[in-house]
Amino acid sequence: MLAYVLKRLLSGAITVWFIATATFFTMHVVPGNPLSAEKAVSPEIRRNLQARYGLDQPLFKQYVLYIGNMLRGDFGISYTQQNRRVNDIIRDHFPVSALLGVLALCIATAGAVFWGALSAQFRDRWPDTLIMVAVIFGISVPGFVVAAMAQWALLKLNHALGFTLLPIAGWGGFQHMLVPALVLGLGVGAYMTRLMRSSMLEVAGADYLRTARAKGLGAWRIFFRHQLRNALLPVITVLGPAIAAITTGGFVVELIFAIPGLGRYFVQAVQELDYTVIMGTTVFYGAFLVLMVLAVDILYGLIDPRIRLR
Amino acid sequence: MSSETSVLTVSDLDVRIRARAGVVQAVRGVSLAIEAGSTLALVGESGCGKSMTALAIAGLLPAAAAVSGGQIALRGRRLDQLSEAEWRRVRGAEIGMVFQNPMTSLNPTMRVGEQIAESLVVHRGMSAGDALAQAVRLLERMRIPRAAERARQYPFEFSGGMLQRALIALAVACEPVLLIADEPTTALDVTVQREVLGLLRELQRERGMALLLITHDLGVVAQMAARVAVMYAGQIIEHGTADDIFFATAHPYTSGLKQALPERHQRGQGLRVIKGAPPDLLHPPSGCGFYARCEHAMRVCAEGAVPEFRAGADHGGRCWLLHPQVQKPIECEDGGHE
Amino acid sequence: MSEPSTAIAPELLQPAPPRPELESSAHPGRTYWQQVARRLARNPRAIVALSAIVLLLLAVAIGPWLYRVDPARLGLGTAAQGPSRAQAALLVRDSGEWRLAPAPSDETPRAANALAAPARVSVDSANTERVRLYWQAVPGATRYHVYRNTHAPRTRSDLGLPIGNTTARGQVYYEDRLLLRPREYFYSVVASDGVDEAGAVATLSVTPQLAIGWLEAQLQGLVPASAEPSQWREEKVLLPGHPLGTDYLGRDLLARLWYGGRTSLFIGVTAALLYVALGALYGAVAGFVGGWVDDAMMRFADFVVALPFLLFMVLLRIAFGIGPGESGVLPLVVALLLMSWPASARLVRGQVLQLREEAYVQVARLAGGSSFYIIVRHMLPNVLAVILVALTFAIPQAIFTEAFLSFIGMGVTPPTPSWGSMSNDGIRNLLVHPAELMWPAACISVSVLAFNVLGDALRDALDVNVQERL
Repeated sequence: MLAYVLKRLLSGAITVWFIATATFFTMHVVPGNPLSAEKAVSPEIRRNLQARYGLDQPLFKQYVLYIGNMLRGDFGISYTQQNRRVNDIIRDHFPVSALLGVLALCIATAGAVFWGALSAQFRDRWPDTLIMVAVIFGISVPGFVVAAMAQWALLKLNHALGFTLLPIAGWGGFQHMLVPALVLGLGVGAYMTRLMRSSMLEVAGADYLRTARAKGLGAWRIFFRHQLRNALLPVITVLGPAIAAITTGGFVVELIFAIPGLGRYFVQAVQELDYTVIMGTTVFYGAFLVLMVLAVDILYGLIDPRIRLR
Repeated sequence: MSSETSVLTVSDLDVRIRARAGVVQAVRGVSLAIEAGSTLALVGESGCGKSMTALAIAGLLPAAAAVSGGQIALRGRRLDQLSEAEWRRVRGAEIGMVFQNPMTSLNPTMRVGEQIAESLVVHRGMSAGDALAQAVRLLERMRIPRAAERARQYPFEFSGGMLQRALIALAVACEPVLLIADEPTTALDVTVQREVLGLLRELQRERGMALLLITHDLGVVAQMAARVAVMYAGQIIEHGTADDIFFATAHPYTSGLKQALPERHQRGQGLRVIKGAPPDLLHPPSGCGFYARCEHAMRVCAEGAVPEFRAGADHGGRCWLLHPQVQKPIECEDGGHE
Repeated sequence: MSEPSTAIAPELLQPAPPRPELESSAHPGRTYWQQVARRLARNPRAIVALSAIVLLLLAVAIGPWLYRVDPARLGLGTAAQGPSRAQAALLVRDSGEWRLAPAPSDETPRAANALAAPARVSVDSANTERVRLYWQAVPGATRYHVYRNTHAPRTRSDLGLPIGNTTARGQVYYEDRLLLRPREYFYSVVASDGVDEAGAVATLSVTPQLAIGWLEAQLQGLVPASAEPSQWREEKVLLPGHPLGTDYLGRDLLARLWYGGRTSLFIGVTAALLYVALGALYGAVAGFVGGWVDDAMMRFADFVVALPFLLFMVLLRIAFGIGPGESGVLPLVVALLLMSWPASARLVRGQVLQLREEAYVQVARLAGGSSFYIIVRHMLPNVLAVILVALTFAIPQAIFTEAFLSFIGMGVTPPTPSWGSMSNDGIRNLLVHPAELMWPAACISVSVLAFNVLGDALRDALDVNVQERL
């Protein structure tokens, strides 16, 4: 197990290096020198930036400088906000996105396990049909539409009630997190529910369930120890991509609900062509996702003995 | 067949399956009995209804299937009217079952020893520690080396033969009076087959357990069975001792099965097959099920249900050829093995 | 066991007549693809999904040709409206300031509670460009306030929207230009002493006629740009109808849906086709060659997968072109291609690996088939099945991604419509005119849903192991 983890960590480090390299070279395909964009940049700052990033040096030297900086954990200074370090921007805003994401993931996973199992138990009866319709809705309606509609519905609700039940935007307390997390978790949760349902059905037809019934075990025991445990496996494998999807979807939710997270900052940086922020955020998110996938793999290894022991 | 000493008595069992296309009569009027300590082999090709019979006896019929007639009695007690809660006390404790595919019959994420112990905890109320110790002893009895280590392993670490032995241990853990084995050796290779069958015979002798062995392999029948029942198209068309079946065949189908076995002295000749296919049980024929494929068929064979005739002391067959009026022999003239 | 004592009639002991079932009656052989087609045809959901897709594709292909309306044509006077038919509108040429002779006002000003209601409130002209009211002077009034309501005022405080008041001394007229629609309005005029308003109110019901200003008509191309107001004879022009209404800039929604559909579906289908094909080729080569080449190729694919998808889509999009005048479609397609190929590569590689070890391939090899023959005759059909399913799921994925990117402004550049950018635009008017968001969102959802359902059905139909339910 330890060897497995170490191997994955090493491969993860190489992956992050690859992401950083890809980011660097992609940004440099953008025509024109970043500094030559019409920004009111004073001569001293221009000189500083040139020195720091070696912008007048050949590409390869710039690259080495870039990697060197990154290894020290220095993502540089924002182009548009000259007095803010990218590291600080990430440090200030990422926890917000992370909290939102974690909440959304919990809602999605818990919901998926519950509704998926319920749906499988009542296969082809009305609860199953109802849940599947909701799942289809969740899968095919784009996230931003759901977010916008949720906000509108919340507005109407607050209006009808005469007081603000839940705020429609902003960030601060739990009441600000609930609706955005729900909306964010919906798309991923719908997909996971469907997966859970088919996994449960597949396990239901498995030979070892027949053995369990032949042993005369009670229904609850069979359900929890034999059926659920095995049905959860495919759902856990999909946690990695689920985290990635929640990260992506988070951008839109942050935009619509005016949540000061890293995603919203990224979109802003893109619109303002703030190169250092763009690159820094990309590499940061890349590393974060690599770490998450590794964590999920380890979790899966803990649960499925076939992976752990082979 | 006396029902006073029989462990299992099945009378006139009917099982129907609801399919999209209609109702399939999978089992039609099956009757059998097994004594304590003896083995009954239920033989037939795929789709003849033997698995359904076994599942009905164990109360494990799938949702779309149901017993639609007849009785099943275990030691005199009616099984076909039990509630699900009562069934759960019978299964595992009084009836044990072993299935065909050992590789997929155990929970892959649970240790083997724990799965055997589960039975003991639920039915005997043993503590987890005691149950686990008993499970190890059972594995030892099944001649699995290093049983204590093995009990802590997962199914994927076992070979096919070892898994099947573990499954047998699981099935007999609570000392049931009846063990149903549905094609237990079909997925194993020949040498392992002999070991497993030998094990079953030993267990039977030790515990006086009745064994219902379902198979399509006449070779297995030869090794194991005291008595044999041959099934075709949902009915039992012949039953008797193993000797009766092999040497005094009372039904053309059984005869066909025997002849389909390749023999060493037949080298160079083609295999003999029974032409045609079993009847569609959505609309079962009103006469003999084998009518369409039988070389000896007579007009009477298509007219209504075939009654059972006596062919020997404890040997019966559902074939008009056994009627005193009929002179024809059942075996064909090819130089068979009598 | 029974001992039937009944004898059998001798003729029944005769041999049975020949039975045709003895001859094997197998099903007429069907090829794999015929079976697949048959399975699909029997699945009602698949049929519905397939029909929906075909309809959508046909619609966006033919729609713009049948419904020739320019999706980029602005109509600021008809912004954010619901569905409307083509209507004749009065062409209003005089848009200058309107004045009437002021009423003589040498009366001493009176207090508000002494002021009467204006008499004889009348309409000079009423159309949706402006409504002109005038009335008789109220003795002692300093100014007048004008209100407008959409229903007859029930009480003194129910006069409705205060649209303004007179400014000049003795002014007894008012021109309303505020967001007029061709519906019944109730104007109320109240005299005031400069501080308070009188209690007495005069109300008039006015229904403005649908009209359009001269400049606006020229902008919309209803009147030639070269024409002069004084020379143009026509009193009325035909305003085009909008079957689905207009967006916040007055652009016809239906036209935008057609063209937006073209963009979205084009990107979805082309990008998906390209990256599935590329991935399949890559994966097939990797799987077939095997060894360290396979390892290296898959390692590279893993790296690409690790790149954060959205962020890199944005990066690539920036890198490939944000130049003016470009629609942004090509950079989007290329970006999607570069980022999405690994999934299908992995899928096809897995399939190829599996097939290599399949018994029938070994048999074909032993029988002496060449590698090429093996690939084409044995592997390709199975791989094709996997590719087909991957493609059917890739398309909604691409549509979604395009919608998402357009939503955050990193997709197609305006004015090129796409369902995603339309949704983005639609959000700002969600409270007033939800149709602007609903239509494109519905289109996205329907196409994504149809492809997903079809993909599911296709996957089931192609899987040889799925047992057909009796």
